[in-house]
Amino acid sequence: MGGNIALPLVRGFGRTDRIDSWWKQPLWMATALTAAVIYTGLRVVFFDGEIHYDNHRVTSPIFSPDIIHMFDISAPSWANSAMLILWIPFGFRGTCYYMRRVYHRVFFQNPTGCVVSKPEISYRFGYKGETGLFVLNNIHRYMLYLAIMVLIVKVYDVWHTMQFHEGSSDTLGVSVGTLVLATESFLLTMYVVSCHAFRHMFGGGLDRWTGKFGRIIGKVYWRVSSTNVHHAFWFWTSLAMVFIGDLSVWSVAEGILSDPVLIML
Amino acid sequence: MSDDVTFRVFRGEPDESGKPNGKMVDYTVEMDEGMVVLDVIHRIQAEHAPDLSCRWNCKAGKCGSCSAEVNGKPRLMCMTRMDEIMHETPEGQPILVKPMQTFPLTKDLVTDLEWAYQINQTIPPLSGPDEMNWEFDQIEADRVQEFRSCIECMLCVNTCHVMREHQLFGQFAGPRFFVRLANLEMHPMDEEDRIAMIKDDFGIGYCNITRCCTEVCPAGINITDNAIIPLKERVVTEYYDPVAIIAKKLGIRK
Repeated sequence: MGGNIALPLVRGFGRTDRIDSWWKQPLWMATALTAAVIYTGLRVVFFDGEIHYDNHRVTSPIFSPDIIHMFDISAPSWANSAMLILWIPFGFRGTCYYMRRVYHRVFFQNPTGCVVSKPEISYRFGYKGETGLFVLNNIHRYMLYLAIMVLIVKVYDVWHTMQFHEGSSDTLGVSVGTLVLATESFLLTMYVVSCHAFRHMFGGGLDRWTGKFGRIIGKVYWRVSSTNVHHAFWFWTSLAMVFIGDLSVWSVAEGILSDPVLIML
Repeated sequence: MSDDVTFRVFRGEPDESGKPNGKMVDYTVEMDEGMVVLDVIHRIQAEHAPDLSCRWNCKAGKCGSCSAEVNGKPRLMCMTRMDEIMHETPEGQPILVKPMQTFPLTKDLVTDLEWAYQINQTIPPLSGPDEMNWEFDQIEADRVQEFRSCIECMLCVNTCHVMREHQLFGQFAGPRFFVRLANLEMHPMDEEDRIAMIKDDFGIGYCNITRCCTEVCPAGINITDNAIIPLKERVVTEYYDPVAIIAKKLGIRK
């Protein structure tokens, strides 16, 4: 390969010839992600009192799967299920190919925007990309496997919200809480199936899709690819819905909002 | 009805050490309806600066020759309409036109793309069965067809911060060549294995998925999602996935 190339003409943090508002996107993304992390931290550590209502019929998405309750685990009073399971969604989102784009841009300024120069520190320490510490991102497919397991529990959570217990009788129904958790599960499902590692698993790793089974895999690949195009959309909407779901559960549990039953079978 | 437009164009040549050495020069010309940036450059050549160098050929977004940075954004001059440029440029401000700054300057808006020719030669070409009756399904062809629309304009390489800011031309193949590698690796009839080269020689690990290459591609190739990330996933299978590595050692997979 060739030798070094002359340096770009414009250099220095944030320096660019671009005249558009390139800084807006990284700014709102940094704000949104920071808010998400702070909210989660505060909720899990300090405000974990109201995480469900109707005797666990509806559970907050942040604390689901509520394994401490599900398996009747004896845990210290300060512990909650989120502390035990949040590393899975955090790990899955943290190693997500879309998320890498976001955090390399907004937290590491590597670069903040396209054709925008970087802070001096980026040059001083050299650039390793994903050959250094960030090589750990390659565990993404294993985080995907775990995320799929969590997703199954999330779908079960929706089913669980439909089970009403009144006295000794059990009835099926749909409340607003059901719709909130169903929306959250749907968005998370779309986020997971539009994942790049998921696409690799379903045909992306193959060069040929021959034979009856191969053709089916090929069709699945193209279907997954059509959702993959919107991976960023599913990332943000599913993330937002986790917090909307949590706020909704907290509000009902606190008595601020009610959870009207829409259908009772 | 026509308006005047002022272009601030880079004029210069490399100095003895090879660094770009020049200045920004203002030219004001009349602009007609329907013009693209390249038309204005041609009018500047015709009316003010016959020695202004710029590379162009097809004027249809197919040859990839007229890449430049217009108002700081890498784009093809022949496919950038002046009404868009006038819309984005504040009133009274000249329109900035610079060469691709990642590559060595030849003169004015022309840069030296020798590196691209060199690296291209290091990529093992398509290697299929000797019998030439290659048959494969359309569904298999569709995936690599996207990569074949690359016009080698090098806007993606120019935009990639690994090249632009860190000049890792010796360690990293750059988006354009990952597109070519993806085209070869995913080709249904190809039998060559380039995964080790993609990891070690072409340094795919240096890509941190910022998607700038995809944002500037005039051919609309989804470089990051459809070429680079699938290649990264294949590298993961070979080098970072313990189950896949054991499966290979046991002969369960190729």
